[in-house]
Amino acid sequence: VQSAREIAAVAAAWLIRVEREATPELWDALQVWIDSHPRHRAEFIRQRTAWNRCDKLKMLRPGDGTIDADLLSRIEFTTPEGEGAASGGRGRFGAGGDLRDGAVDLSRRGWLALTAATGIAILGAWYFALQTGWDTYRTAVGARQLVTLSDGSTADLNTGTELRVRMSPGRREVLLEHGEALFRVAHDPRRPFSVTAQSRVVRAVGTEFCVRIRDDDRVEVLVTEGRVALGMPGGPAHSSASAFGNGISMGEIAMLSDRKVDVRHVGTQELDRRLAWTSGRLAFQGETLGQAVEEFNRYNVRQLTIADASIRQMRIGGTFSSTDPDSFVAALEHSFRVAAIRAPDGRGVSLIARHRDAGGNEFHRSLRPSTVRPASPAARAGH
Amino acid sequence: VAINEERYLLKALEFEGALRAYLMGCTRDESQVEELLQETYARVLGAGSAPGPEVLSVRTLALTIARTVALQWLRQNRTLPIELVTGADACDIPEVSHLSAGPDHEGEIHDGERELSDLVTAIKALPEECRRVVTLRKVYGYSQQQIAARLQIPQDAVERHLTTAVLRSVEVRIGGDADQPGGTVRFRAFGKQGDRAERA
Repeated sequence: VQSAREIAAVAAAWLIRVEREATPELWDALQVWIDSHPRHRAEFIRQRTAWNRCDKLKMLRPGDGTIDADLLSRIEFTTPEGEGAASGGRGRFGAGGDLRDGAVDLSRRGWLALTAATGIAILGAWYFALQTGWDTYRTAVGARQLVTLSDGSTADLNTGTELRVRMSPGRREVLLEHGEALFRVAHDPRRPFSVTAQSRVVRAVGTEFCVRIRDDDRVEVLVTEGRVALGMPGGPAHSSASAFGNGISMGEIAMLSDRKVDVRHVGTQELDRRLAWTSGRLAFQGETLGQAVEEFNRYNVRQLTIADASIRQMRIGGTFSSTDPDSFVAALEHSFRVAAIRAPDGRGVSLIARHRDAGGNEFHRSLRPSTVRPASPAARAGH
Repeated sequence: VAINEERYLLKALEFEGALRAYLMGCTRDESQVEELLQETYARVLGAGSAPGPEVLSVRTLALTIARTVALQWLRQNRTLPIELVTGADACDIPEVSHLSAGPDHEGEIHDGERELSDLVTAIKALPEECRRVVTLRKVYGYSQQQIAARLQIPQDAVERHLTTAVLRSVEVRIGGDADQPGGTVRFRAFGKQGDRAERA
């Protein structure tokens, strides 16, 4: 039997290991370890939570793009007297020497101002010419791939994604053909990084954001760090700025449709949910069953269908492995009045409502005696 | 509505200070506290996937589970007759109702800057190379490969330093974890399992 400390050490090693390279084999091995004891799973979640909390340290990054591995040793936290009472007890920090502004207010607004001060993201007409020199990256349905680009940026490709990349001395261009990708852009103010999706452009210098082309051709842009500009390539010169505003910042999501953009703020929890796919999970909280099924179908060849309109609007929550629709279906059957009918060829699952008659016996509406109809092959296979 | 199995555990992690304080009242052996704490977390996680009414106070749930875990450990390790252990006077495992088992904070107030300064303090206390690796990873978002290249150290060393840092980060308490006196054990049902879909 392993001690708590030994389990903790193994969990930490796993966490860092999958951060380094996340191959499907590695994920499977991790899953085996996690499943082998309840303590393993709890400890892994505990450490993952603590480690993710450290991402807050990004707020300390200087806005001028300098990299300093000894930055933290020069930061002192102080709480000036009087100041604390005035700002509701909020502390301030000052960095010895390097940060030119001296004390910088660490509130979110102050930090964003800092980012904006670096002069990121200028909009302009952006002509996109199809030329040679493009590298193509593709993922199959259910697959995921982390690509490191030649400039040090990374692109995390979600299921069924295709993107093309071209690096040149003056610019870094990505063309998202379909699917979804999370970009972690290496800072380089002289070479703007732009992602084009469905004729919309997302531009950044050094930030982190996620771009997704939805089934209805709308483009969704979620910024998890820094700020990006939104625009259109080859449109009437400079008109894009007025059409799309100045862009969006960390914690904001933009939905771009034809010449319209809806921006709203997302909380930390929703942010985590929306990025759950980067660790192979799908997380729902209050989404309708219809939306959840649509999500699962992105990741799996075996498609789920809702054969019963009465359950489509049902609200659900939970975290699931994106490539394991069976667990999702099992959870639905367990917690809700939903029954699953599996197709005989194993290619699909229909979800229907489960009803109860006066005597308390459960039955499926489609099999109710009074509505007998020629049984479909799917229904026969389920029973 | 939620069937997110991790929900109780994620909440309970915010009360680690209270859990630890409680378990310290059961045993002075620090490594034993780690054992009991880890087992408590495992069971809190399990409670998240068990059917039944939604727990109103995760704080109380976690403390109650910690008590159960401590009692079981006592039974196994001190070879006392069970009657003695379960009798209120015979053991030094405190009752949960005497503790800070109040409801979870409503809309938790987070002192974000306090948390940030705690994190920085923890990282500053790490050995130099380890500190630099973590800084590049968490402040600048470097990949492990990029860190290895920049600091000119093997990637295995980067991995080792980050693993150390993960273990250290777990020790930094989430803000606002003060003990609250009073309170009683309270569970409240939000309706039966099968009704949830309709209620949503």
